[in-house]
Amino acid sequence: MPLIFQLGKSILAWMIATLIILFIILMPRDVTYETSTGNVFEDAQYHYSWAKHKDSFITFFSYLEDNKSLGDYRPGYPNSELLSRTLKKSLAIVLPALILSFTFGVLKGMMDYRFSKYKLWSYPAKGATWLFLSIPDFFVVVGIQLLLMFLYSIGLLPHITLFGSDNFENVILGIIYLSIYPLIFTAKMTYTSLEEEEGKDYIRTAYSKGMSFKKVVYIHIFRNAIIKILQHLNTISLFVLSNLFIIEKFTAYRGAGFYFMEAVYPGASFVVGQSKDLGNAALAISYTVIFTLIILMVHLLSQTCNYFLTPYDPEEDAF
Amino acid sequence: MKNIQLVIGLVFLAIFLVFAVFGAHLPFVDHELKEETMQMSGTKIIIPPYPPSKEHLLGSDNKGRDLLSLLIMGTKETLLFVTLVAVIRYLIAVPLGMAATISKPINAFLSSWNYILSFIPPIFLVALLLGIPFIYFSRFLPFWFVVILSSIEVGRLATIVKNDTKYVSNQLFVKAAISTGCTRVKLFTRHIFPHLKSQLLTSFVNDMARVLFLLSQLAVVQLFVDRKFTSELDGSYSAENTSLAYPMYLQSVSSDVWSSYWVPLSAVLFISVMIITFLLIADGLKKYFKMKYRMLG
Repeated sequence: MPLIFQLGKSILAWMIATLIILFIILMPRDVTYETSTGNVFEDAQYHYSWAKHKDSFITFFSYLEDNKSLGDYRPGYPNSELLSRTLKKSLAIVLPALILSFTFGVLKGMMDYRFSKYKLWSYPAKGATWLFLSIPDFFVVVGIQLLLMFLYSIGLLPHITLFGSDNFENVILGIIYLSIYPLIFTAKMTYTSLEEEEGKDYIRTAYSKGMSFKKVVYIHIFRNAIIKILQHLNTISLFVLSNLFIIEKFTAYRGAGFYFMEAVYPGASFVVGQSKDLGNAALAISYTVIFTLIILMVHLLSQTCNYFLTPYDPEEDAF
Repeated sequence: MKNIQLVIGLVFLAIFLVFAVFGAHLPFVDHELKEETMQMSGTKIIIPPYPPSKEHLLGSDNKGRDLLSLLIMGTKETLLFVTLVAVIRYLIAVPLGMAATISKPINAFLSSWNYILSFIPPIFLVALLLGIPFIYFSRFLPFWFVVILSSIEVGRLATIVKNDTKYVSNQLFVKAAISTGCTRVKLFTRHIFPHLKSQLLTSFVNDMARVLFLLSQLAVVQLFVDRKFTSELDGSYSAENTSLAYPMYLQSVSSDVWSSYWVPLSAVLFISVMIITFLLIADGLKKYFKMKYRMLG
């Protein structure tokens, strides 16, 4: 399949995904409340109407066209400013986390493979990998937080702010929390794809020509394994982005994930008579577009790399 | 004893099942979940949450209920919910995945659906759907929760089923069965399904772990399985969690870690042990079937 066609498919899928989300965000949300005497909440009724749904689409886009702005988050504080501020914050932890977890993951996978011939290394390494992939990462996060607090309380560590997003250490901790799981995941994928290549003919040929183990692993096997590893880039980025919501909540890091969630979910409380509108649809939509755009870029990147690195047509090679 | 994973996993599962079935009758469990609004220590008054002590082994929550009892009583709900979601997922995914192996349109639909969903972080989609007023105010919120949680992952599972079915159908023994004149039904019931069964069971248990993980993520961003609306002083109403499932103790995790670290810690511990239990059983089952059917690879 030509590259352009593949990339076009990704962009089309991205557009459909964004449209679906837009459709849900712009859904009319008028609620009629049923109350008993004294305005006590009993129940709420909701009626969907297609005409209103269409209207909210038109209003949204005409507002964009007329005002050339995304509206205000608070009076005097435009959404665009909030967007750029929170995105900078979040990208400061997402991008390093993605890059670090991928590079170190691949390196760790190669190291695991290199040492897999020694039982003393491979058994504990395999066990640790399994454990880290199994335990939910918020367990690791809570564990690290409590450990740091404990170390501080017995005087082994200087004061570290665990919560918030204004300090340097918040960024570092955020990167660590976000990259733990993807790192181990990449390492495992690297290890399996290296292992899969092991018995193949071209490897045996290379050995029989007197090539050293190192050269075979780093040049011959890795050249083919990296194609399979790159295919997991999508999974990793999706994982990092969805984990961003969680990590930002855990560490009170006020980044894009935090405000995104706030804009999308109407919150746990309401007042009788108030509409259940998403207070700030423009904000929710901008975040959606940006988040999915990041994923799209990773998709395109991995497809392009895949295309240029694969020396054969994978569809011809099916059997 | 070759299959240590399966044994450990099943032992843990047995413990969880005992909690779920007999939890309320265990001697150290306060099945009424009494709320203790204050404790006297000498002349000082202490208000909940109480730290771990002899009375409350794991401490108490912010209403003064014994945390260990809460978690044990919550086991039933957690297990039930996780199993229910996983069962529904498979009830849809298995026929869908099998249909996709023989029907091209269904296959195209399935792969494009998966591809589109791969652009949306699942936790975000769930939050978006739960915010729709129709679902937000529904009296049957747990029902909708199950429906949403089941449906967002159906595509992924159906693809796994499809790939497994394709793999098995390409094996030599299936071709041999076809060439000896096996009927379609028998081909499926006698040759394909027995192989598929083991893989399905393994991925089913694996999936239970995923459900619990997603549920915990959702609880962190304050999306509950069930809630009631309670009136606040300012005339507004806020959703208060009424579920006992483990993940619900994570709802205020970022503040709890400061003041009452034992609440999120115990909840996270219970969740992690349960997730590990599922994964151990899945790994163990894989190994068991591999040995039983002498599968390669």
